[in-house]
Amino acid sequence: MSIVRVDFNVDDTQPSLRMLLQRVGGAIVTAKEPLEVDLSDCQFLGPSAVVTLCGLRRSFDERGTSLTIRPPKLTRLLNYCQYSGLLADFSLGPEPQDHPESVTTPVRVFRDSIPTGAIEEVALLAKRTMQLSQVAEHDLNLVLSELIQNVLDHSKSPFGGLVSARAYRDQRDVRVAVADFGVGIRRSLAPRVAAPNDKEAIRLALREEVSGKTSGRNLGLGLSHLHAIVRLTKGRMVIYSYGGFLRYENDHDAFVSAKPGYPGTIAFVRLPMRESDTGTEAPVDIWA
Amino acid sequence: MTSGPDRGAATRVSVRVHDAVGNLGGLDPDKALVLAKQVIALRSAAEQIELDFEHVGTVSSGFANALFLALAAHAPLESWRQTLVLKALDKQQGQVLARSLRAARNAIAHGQAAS
Repeated sequence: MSIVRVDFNVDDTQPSLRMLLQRVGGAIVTAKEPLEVDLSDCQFLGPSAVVTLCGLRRSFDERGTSLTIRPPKLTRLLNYCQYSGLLADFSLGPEPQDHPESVTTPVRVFRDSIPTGAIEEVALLAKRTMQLSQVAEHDLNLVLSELIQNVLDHSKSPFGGLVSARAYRDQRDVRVAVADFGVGIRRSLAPRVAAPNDKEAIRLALREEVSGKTSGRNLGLGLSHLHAIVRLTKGRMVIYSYGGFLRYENDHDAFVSAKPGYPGTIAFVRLPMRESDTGTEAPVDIWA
Repeated sequence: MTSGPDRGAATRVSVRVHDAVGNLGGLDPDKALVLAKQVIALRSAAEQIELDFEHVGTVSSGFANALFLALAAHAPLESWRQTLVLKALDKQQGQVLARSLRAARNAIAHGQAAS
């Protein structure tokens, strides 16, 4: 068995995810023997790390080998690993029970349809953690449903997608990560639009009505809608798909090539919870 | 749940969307197909069909896409403009529906929508 140490924080930023993939990722391609990810000295993991590790475990399973983790020593992080479902996913603990002080929802796997129960769990977490306006609840539901629908419509992920969320009371935000281990944005666009590389594919996918209409009910709105919500709420977003990523922050998009690539697509969103809607309340004429 | 048409007068039936799609059903494209089926079935019985969005919560673009494409498969979208009356729609629901409707029109115009 090979062992890789993750002695740094995986805090939902693209550099930290890339470091995780550098340590573990090389082993994905060549995985012939079991691999252990040693989290003993890790101090922080976010939802991106949870969905990535749980997805990698499934990838290893599909290759007929195994990925295991050594849990962190830090009690606070160990609790997070328990309540986020990471330990249970690796058969290192029971399924997480709902805890009144938990800041996370258990990682959920979805495959064929929108997991409304999982979306409801995230909304309940946010309500438990902070006052939630109706507009903030809409934002949260939309972000989750758009991310999940994208996986269902485009990814061709062999084991579906994974979703995890964590709430931050002090910062009044919810952070969600949705990952799949499918074909990636560039290949899903290919039947309609040829993108020269993965970062350009992400740029194209963000344009309204461009992304691959691979299902009879998809009109290419998901990522552009997601982008609009994150921009409106002054949030942060990372989309990392094979060799390209988008980082949206402070009203600025950065499209960058990345090595190693993500073995599928992961989207991370930090979504500030708006107190109320600051726009006009005029009814919308949808036919206009 | 629907309330039936008034006999005689120009008929309008009301469909309570929440009853048709259930809790958080506005996120699920499959539930949009259930709603569309109900609306299409009522079309021959009423001149107007009121869709009451009270208590529906969030409407996703996947739901809205599925609804409009299913309606368009039955009759041209512009004909539904005369038939559908949307009630208790909040601003965000309206925005999502408007974007999907625009995209559906474009997709149909360019022959890209699957029926």
